[in-house]
Amino acid sequence: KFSSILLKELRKSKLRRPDIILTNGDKALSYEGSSGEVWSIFEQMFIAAIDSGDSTLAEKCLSKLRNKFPKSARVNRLVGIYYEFTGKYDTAMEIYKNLLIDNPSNLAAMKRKVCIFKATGKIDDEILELNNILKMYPSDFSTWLELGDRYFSRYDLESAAHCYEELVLLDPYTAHTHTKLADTYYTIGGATNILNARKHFIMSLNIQCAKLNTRAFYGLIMTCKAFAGLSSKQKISASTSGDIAQ
Amino acid sequence: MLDEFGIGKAAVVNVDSKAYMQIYLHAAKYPSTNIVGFLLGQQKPNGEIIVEDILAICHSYPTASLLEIGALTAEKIGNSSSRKVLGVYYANEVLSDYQVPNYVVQIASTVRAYVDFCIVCQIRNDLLSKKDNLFIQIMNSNNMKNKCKIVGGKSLEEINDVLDSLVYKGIQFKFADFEDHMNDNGVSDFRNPTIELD
Repeated sequence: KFSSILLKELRKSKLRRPDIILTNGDKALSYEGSSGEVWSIFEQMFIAAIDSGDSTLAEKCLSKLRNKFPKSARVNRLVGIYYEFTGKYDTAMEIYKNLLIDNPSNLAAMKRKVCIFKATGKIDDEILELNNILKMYPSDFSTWLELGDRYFSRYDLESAAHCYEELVLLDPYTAHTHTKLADTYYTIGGATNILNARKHFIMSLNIQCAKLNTRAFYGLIMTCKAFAGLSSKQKISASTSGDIAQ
Repeated sequence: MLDEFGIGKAAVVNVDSKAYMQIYLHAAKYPSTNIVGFLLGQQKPNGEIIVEDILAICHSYPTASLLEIGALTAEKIGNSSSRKVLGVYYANEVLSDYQVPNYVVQIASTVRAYVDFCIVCQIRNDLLSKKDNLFIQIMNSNNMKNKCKIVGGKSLEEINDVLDSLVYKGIQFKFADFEDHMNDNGVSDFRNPTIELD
């Protein structure tokens, strides 16, 4: 019973702990017997097996799900994930494209396409696909985050900053989003961006105190030090710039 | 003749087995992201270069603030043990990506300002599980490599045995880089004093 509750809590909190799932999966399955929960556990164990590289267990879980739900889009997505795991990206891509033909707003399938582009190193395609997702789901937090990280990986920092600004708009009460934006401004550099970075490090520290927010704390020190090192002309120019809070 | 990173195409870089194993643990902890760290060591009067220690910096694309604080910390750790920051190691996110990324080139040019050269050590993701080759290679430009030797008294086979036992015990999850230290508010010690590499 404990294993079943544990796996249920992991599903609810969306924590990815394949070690715990694989240790407790069989016990949870034997407890649940023939109840409806077993299928969620099979799905959970499939993902855990993929994360751990256990192809035998992954195949076993997937075949049970396919037998029970042969026409399910959710199971088809898992089939696509299995093909990705085995390196058959073209086959996986076909599956996701077919899922999107049936339902063009299938966000999970769109995100899997992004995963394929990421795994195969096709950054341009990945960025294009992420932008397509945002046209349909403009307030999807994880897509803005991934797009920002992608732009950051190419050191297209202005575009990354724009994405992180959207994150701050979507979730202004999380310290982490302010810290991420501040770090990006600081990395871009220049007097105005240093002030912007300082503003967001302070916002981050307002939300979460310095004792629990080392990164923002150090970031604030670095921005203050960097600003102090600027010439008077740069400081005045940055301070009187329209979008800076005094 | 000097190359892009100033190391000299004929130079052999010696890497201490403990530094080699720490790099492995950093890569094993974060197998699906890029990682960056500094290499600490000495250049002997005869020109011999030895990498004796590392400071693992981050497991994401490095930001300026993290690199600045990390570099200051690396310098301080180095000074306390008569070592210098000699270079940078990195692993790319994608398995088949063997390029030297722009941010590594920028870090290298900063290190060169202090040491005349920068050892750019690439982790070959595809060789991490192979036992008969080193998983690191020293880049002297985007396509050319320098020779690398492991020193410290252990053979490659002995090192691989130690690494296998560490990974089997899950020690890589206890390894902390500077970003871990910043993210968990100082709980993790980026010097990893409790990890025994014997």
